Amino acid sequence: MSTPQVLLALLSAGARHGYDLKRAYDVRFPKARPLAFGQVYSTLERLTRDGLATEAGVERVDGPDRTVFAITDAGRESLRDWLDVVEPPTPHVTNALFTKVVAALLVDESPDGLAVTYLRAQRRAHLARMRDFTQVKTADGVSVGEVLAADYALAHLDADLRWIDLTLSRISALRQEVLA
Amino acid sequence: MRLPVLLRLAVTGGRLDGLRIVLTAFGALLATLLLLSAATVLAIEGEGGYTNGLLAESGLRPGVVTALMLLGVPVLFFVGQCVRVGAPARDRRLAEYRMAGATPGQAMKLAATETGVSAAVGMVVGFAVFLLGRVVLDRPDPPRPLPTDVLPPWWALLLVALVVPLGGALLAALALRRSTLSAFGVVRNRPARAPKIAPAVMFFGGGAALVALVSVDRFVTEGFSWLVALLIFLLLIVTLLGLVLGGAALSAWIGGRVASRAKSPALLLAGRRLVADPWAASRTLPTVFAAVVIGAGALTMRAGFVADRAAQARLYPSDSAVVDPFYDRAFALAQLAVWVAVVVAAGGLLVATAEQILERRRTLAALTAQGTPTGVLARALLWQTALPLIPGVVLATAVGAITARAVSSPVSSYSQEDATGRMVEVHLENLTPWLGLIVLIVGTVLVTMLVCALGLLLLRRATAVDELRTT
Amino acid sequence: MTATVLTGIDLERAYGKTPALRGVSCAVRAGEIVAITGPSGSGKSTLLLCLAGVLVPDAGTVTYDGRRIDQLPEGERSRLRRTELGVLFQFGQLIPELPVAENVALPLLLSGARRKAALATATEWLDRFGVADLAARYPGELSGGQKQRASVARALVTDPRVLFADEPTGALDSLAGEQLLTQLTRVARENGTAVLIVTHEAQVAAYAQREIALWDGAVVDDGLTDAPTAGARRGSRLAVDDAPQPVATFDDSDAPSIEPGKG
Repeated sequence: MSTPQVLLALLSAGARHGYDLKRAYDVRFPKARPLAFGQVYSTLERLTRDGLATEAGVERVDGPDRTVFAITDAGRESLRDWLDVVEPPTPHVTNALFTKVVAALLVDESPDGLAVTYLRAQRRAHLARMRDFTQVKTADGVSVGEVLAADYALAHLDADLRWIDLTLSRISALRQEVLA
Repeated sequence: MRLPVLLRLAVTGGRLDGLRIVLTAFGALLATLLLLSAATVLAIEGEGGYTNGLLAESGLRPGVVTALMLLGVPVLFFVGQCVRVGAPARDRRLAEYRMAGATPGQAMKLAATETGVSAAVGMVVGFAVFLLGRVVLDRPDPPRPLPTDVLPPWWALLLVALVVPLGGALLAALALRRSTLSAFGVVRNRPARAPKIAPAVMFFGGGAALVALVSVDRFVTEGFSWLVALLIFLLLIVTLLGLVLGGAALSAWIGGRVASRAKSPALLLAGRRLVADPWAASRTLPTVFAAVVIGAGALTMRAGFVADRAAQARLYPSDSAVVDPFYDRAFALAQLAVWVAVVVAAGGLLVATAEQILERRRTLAALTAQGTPTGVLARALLWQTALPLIPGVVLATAVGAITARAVSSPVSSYSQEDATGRMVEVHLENLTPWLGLIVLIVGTVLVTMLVCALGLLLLRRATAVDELRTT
Repeated sequence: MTATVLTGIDLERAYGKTPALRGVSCAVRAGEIVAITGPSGSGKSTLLLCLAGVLVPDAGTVTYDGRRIDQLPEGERSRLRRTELGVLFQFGQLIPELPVAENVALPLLLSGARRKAALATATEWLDRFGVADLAARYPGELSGGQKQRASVARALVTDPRVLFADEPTGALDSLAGEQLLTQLTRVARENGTAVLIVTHEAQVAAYAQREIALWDGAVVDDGLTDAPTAGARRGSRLAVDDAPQPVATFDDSDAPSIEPGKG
């Protein structure tokens, strides 16, 4: 979970209170999994405890008092450190897709059988999803964040699709191997 | 490299390489025939024995040999055009050899060997045609029409057999001399030249000066002046050089004019192509022009000669029966030589057209797929030749005729004693052979365009959809 | 439901003895953007060229706008291609010695338009693709993306009802390809032009509304029937993983992240 780092990054642009942070998050990461308010406050609490953020004051805007949080020097350093670490490339070999294809080959050994049917249907589903992201990306008035998120999703779905196509081409050879 | 390997690698490649080899061999065949004919004429001994005075009289034979050698010029142009066919593909192949570890020297040797071998094949066929021709054309009872009874000495035959293939190989090596045979392709060290304005100035300036000189000279001087003759000769050289060198500038200029206001797509394509690559057409067009200059000159000289003869016949009616057919025959031969030169030069144009089509087949196929009628593409190719050809031929005819007029019959009347010893004014008529010149212009344009149109036969194949397949 | 504008039925076509299409049927509705996909040699380009009337199928029929076009003589098909159908290739379609504007105006000139009017229309179309400033330049001076945009302008300048594009982004980098496809699909939608795009890239196919997937010269999925066919045998089906999850989440459980906060 990288929520702490994401909040630190949002704070590095200026001090904010929790409600503001949640809104900024929604704008910046529109395609990401939604962030609950409770999660924002608990994370801020943890950041403050660890000395990465600090309460910078109280603000009242036509409603309840809101605590404004600011990033500390330690917080900046921690954010830097996190950004400096390269993400480990993770091949998702345990993906259900892969498992299903191998299983299907075990169940049905005939050519153009279950595995191929499954792969073609999966291909269609993947492409439909890619179509959605392409539409998001090419819509009018789309934000940079949305474009980047769509690109990211498209590239990953594309990788799956390439694998599906390759597997369709390789399927007979693959079947031999599985059944050997 | 061992010889078999060298030969195997040299004579290989795709259909363009095949076309280049065949055309080079054909050029070598023509060269062989010319050289053997010249050697045969040189080998003739003594006077008489042939119906044609040019062959029978020993004093005229060197002229015949010179004429045959001059015919070699369009043949050289033709070969020069042929060795360019499919050059990009060959360059890629040479680069692959380099990539595979061949030295630049070896790559050049391969290119030279290819031309040498093709030329050798052409030489062998040329010898066969020559020897066969001697037998077929032989008329046993003298005087013979052709020197079929004479065979050049063995050393002359050996010389021809060696010069053709070796000369071809040497030419190929020379053509690549300015190129770097790298593993990443053949890099031409010479940048593409832009057409210059100087040749046009040379042509129009020289031509104008020539006309001015001739017309002024007619009023000012009496008789024949060596100084004027020399001036005329120099101006003619300048004008001819301008015509040859200015082919590109002329093409580009005409192309630009036409393209910027063309409504027909064919004219637009042709004009723009001339602007973009004026050298494509002008490599061979000057040969046609030079042949036309000589042809027009010969026609005009003959007209002057005939006019003088007619005037003399009027003056001395009794002598008119004795007309020496020698000059007529010589002029006829000169005309024949001019037409041969035109056809050979047109052959070079055919090769240039074919090469252009094959090299641009991707674009042509795409255009066809997008709905461009093949007829438009064909007309564009024809226009591309016709646009510089027609004005060029007209100008060349004018230059040849004017010069011949100036040199051979600068005056249209002169005074002479008639049979009774009286001084009379002799008027020469029909000094300018209008009909002959028009036939020359129209004929040259027709022959050239017809030969060029043969190249269009490739168009349908080049625009086939297969050329579009990316995989 | 919009009307069908182009139909191919049981199309067969072979190159020599190698079959490229073995009985392909498909239909394109007016204004629809369709991708034809498949691996190399699956016959997708051949299908496109048959539908566009460039190639004549060995068997089967192609119907455009209610007319059979596979039997028309080449001259008629050629006229159709420069008026009602647009064709676009990967590269090599601009004439190098013609300025861009004249390149784009060429189809109009071929149809007998006046020079000035044709050039004005061409410039308008170049403007729609954001390359109007390049009108006087020559193709050799343009980047790949600019060239391809000019090519699209030329393919659309006659306002065709169907545009056939064979790997239109094949020679472009991802970003240039994306720009081209975005503009192409937008303009096609505005004009109600149906577009057929041949591609082997899913990212390109995703710009279309529907995919016709070819495999070995036959359609395995035309995006219309309930489920794609696998081939001869149809057995019981495994459930498809429902709509694939968007991967752009920050808490993908498969991807361990570094959490200094917990450290």
